[in-house]
Amino acid sequence: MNDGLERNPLVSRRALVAHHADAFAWALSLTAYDAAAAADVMQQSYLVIVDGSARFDARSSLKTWLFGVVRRCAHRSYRRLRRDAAFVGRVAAEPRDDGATADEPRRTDIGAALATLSRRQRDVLELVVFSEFTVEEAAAVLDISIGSARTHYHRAKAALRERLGDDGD
Amino acid sequence: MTTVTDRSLDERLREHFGEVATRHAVPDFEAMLANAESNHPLRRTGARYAGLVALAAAVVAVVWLWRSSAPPMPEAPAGDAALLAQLSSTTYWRAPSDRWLARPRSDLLDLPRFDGVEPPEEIETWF
Repeated sequence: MNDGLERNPLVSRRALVAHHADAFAWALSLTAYDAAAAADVMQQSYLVIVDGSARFDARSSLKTWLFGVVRRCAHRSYRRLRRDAAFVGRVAAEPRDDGATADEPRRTDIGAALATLSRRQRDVLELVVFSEFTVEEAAAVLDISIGSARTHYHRAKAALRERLGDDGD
Repeated sequence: MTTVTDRSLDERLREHFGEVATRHAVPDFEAMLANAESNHPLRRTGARYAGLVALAAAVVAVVWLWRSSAPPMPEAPAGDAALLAQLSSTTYWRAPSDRWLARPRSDLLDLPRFDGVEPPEEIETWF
């Protein structure tokens, strides 16, 4: 049964449903975990998919393409929000004299360690580890080179390993 | 110092991202897709620029009303027409002599060269 969209015939509704929750989690991450903003990004993404502004040509997997569309919509709509959120996140993650962060004293969990990474490093790590993309697919989602994605991934892993290892002393 | 292996790090990351993601309810896919399908691009564009369109229409209406309510331009009396006809047929300026026009002009600006112009006494006779 062909359940492709009228203006995006290679995009099947069933495939979209299958990736909906993962894509929403990705939208959440892109909007600093603001659920309303993430829902808005998802709505914008489906809008451009339905009206054919974002056209799937099967050069990548549907999931890779969908995550790329979500990222572009998030960037377009929430550039300012992300900048503010990144600033707030940086300030919150700055270690105080006692080694704790501003909002959560003595927090040494993986969330605090992730907050010390750059946005790009976190994105690559989340896409590869959580969303189960390959590094090459993550590069396609983020529209960066494979070499750059690989560098971000390894540096992020090394930084986390060092930070979490040090925390265990 | 503890050693963090790749496997344990990945597991902790997966757990963390999963835990953060599940804090928020996933919005209804069907409702979102139906909403996207009901939003025709033209309708969206119309909604986005509805304010601008209304403003432009208001400006046009105000200008039209102002022009239609403005007093008509006064018409010239019959005597003025005769005077205008007389003025238009009167020559107030006479062309200089052909001798002056025949002088060489500047190559660049196509202006007459004044170095060869006759003395003022002679020019005065032109008028």
